[in-house]
Amino acid sequence: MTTSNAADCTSLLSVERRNREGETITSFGTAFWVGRNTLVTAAHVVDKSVARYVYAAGIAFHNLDNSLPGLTQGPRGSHSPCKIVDRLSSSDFSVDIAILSVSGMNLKHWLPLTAMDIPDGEIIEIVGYPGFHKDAWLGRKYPNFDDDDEETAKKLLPAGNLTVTKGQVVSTQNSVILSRMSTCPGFSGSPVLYKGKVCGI
Amino acid sequence: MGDFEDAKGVSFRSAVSFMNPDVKRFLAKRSLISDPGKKTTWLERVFRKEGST
Repeated sequence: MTTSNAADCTSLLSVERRNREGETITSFGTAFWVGRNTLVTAAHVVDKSVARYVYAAGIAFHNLDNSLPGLTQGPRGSHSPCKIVDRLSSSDFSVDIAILSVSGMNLKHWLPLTAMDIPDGEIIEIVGYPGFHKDAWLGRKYPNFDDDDEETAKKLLPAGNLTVTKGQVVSTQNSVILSRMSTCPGFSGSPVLYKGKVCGI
Repeated sequence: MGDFEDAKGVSFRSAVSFMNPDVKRFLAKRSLISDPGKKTTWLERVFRKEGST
């Protein structure tokens, strides 16, 4: 399984929630295919959601109509509603996974999973959809962040476009992989790839 | 991506590993990953070899 193949098996996940005022809020995450009609994502991406749609792999979401009517009445690009089959999470996010299913799908390719140990120093990759990262978020993550860096961040993590990012594993503690890697909101639910297999999320 | 990290300071990211016993069991329950604690039957081995799910 190459990174290119992995990109073909990685989809944009659109999630709708209702806020306290009863308005529908749409947010985005990433999900990847692990079976003919089965996806895996992070549990926190779909928590409290009222509707979920998975889009074809590779589709950019910055041109989508983010409003509820736009999604339900047929946005640009192929999308299918999906439902939560099972989920597992913990308050400290050391466990954070959900399984989704899409009826009517019959994929021929999906990503293999592995529970192998990853030695420190190894390179891992993440395939996912960067969200619209705000300056405030970047400022918290990078204390030295300044205005000139905004454009750099946009180029490296282009919002709404399927992106591959990679970095080095620093350590694995209590089954949590710690790495030096650039990600941002939107990557939640992305597959962590090591030697062609998904070793984490 | 490393250059940006180097220029702007260290920033670590965490990911949930499938090595986590709870996650591994969760995935194994749906046959998405092999459960090392469970013996594979000859029928499962045949199905996997032939690509069935």
